[in-house]
Amino acid sequence: MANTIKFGNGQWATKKDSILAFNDENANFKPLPFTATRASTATVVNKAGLLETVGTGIPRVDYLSNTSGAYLLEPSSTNLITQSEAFGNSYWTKSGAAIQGDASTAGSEQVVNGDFATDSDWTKGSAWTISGGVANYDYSATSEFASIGSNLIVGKLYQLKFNLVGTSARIYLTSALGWKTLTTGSYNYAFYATDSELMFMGANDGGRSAFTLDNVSVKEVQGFSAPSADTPLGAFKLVENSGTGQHRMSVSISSPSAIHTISAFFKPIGTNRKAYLDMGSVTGYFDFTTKVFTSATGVGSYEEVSDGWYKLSLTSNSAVTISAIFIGLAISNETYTGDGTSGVYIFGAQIEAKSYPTSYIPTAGSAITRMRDLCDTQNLSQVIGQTEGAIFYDAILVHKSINTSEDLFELSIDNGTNQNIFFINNYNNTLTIGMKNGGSTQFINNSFNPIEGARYKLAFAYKQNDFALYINGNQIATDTSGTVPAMNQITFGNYYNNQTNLQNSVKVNDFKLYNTRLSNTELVKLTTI
Amino acid sequence: MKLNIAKYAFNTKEQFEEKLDALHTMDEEGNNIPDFKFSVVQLGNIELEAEVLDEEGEVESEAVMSEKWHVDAAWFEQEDHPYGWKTYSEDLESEGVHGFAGLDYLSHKF
Repeated sequence: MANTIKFGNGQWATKKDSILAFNDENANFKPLPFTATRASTATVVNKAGLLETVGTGIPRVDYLSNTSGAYLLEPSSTNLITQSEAFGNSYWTKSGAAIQGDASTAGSEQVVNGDFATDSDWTKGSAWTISGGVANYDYSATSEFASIGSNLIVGKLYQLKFNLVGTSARIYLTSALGWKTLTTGSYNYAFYATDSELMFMGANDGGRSAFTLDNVSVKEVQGFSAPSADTPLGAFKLVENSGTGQHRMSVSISSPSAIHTISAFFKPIGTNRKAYLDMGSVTGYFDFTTKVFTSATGVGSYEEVSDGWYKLSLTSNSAVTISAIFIGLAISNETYTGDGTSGVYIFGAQIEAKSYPTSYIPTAGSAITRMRDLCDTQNLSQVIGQTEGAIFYDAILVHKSINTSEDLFELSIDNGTNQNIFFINNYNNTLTIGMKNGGSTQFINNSFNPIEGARYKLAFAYKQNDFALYINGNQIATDTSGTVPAMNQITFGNYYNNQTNLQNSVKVNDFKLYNTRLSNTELVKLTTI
Repeated sequence: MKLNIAKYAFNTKEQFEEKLDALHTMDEEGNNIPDFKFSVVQLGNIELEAEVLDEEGEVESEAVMSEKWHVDAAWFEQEDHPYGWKTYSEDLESEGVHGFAGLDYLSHKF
């Protein structure tokens, strides 16, 4: 038998707009570059198990739970969350919880006279005084209170701590954190500075109160270790307070009716809290100990990334209109009495109008679209068996079409039309494998029900009146009647015409073509997992 | 590869869908084949002013939504907006509410 194309199987060579297959018959190496394009940047899990952004047009080899790597192709998708990592800032509303950086990395104190020992170092509006070792806001007017010595660096991460005494204080905590309504307590916020000035304000909105501040401290800190090569210290700790209620952060998002998927990266701290994801009418909980995702109205899934991090995803069962999303902590559900210290590390949040999660799309100020990957190559008739041959395809089924609304393709080998074609079609709970010659079906089978997220090895051998399909070491079908089409091009992750709505996410581990019809024994050997 | 990013505000979603359909040709299987390469993202009735929530998650002020159907598009190898689209294009001086990963609108607009 002659193996005329080798692609993948741990041997990857990529450059902008190209990924290499090769032919090494008779120990004579011949490169067979595939055109692989994507008009935007995208992220991938690198060999170290970390998310990494790759440039426009660079093919992605994904090493998530796979030391040999797999070629990842995805359709376009948009992360509707406009601040996917800056959880401390006012974009994210915290309720019964706070976002913290790594206090052990705290730098020098930015606030002079934060304990208000003297009446100095602060610019006071008309409603503010310093006396008795505290700063007093008397509620007579909305007015400012600014630290004179502070000079924050925009974009740096800081940790703000202070004590407040008041029954219903309406307070502005820098431009990054915005307005908060607080009661007596000790507070701790992490934020990326959006202004060099450290300024507070008190507001005399109706129904609020006078208050005092003490022990104001601002120090530059680092975030916690994140599963990201781009932002290695970009993770935060979401810590519950000691109140009874929900312990979460939320953001207002408007997205019209569609199936949506929310995802985020979590790392547990201890074993007593679950992760909680919520799209309004769709809620799910992930138990880090049992690794069980429960949801009455959606489908939850998880992937173990690296260093204890999980990518958790929740997909709505049906079309939902999104107005807000919530990410937080849970015990049996999301309403409980907190202990003031338990929490979880969190990184990289995403919501997309998709029926499954796609790769992480970082955002920092606007919704961002990752454009689709395309990979096809023409003029391959010399390496595609024209009268007999065998096709071997080893891949991860990233997403299974579960009904007739999604007609997706894993692979197409054809002549640039749908008349002469071999295809793997992911449709309505099955993989449909077919071959047409001159528009007439020569072979068709749709009896294999794949498992989403699982690896499968498929081999199809063809010769006039002699077809055989094997998947995972098992014979799926044979056919003793049919002719073989002339084919000259290959498309991964799509149909022959690269249609937007026919494209699936695929991860190709290994792909081979042979110019002889392999024996059934060879097909068993090739496809055994 | 020439690439341009453009932003549009159509009167309705249906009007946008008509314009999009006009950029395709149907094959014998009923598949809409694009006449050239592009990527279109429907943003819909975008938020002009964000909803404000308090710490309890209650709405302090409602979001203000656009009545237009907003769309961002990336056009490949085109010299201008497709026929019938230019009337609805918007020329922003900022990146707007949406972008394509790694590509800024201001240096890619027509």
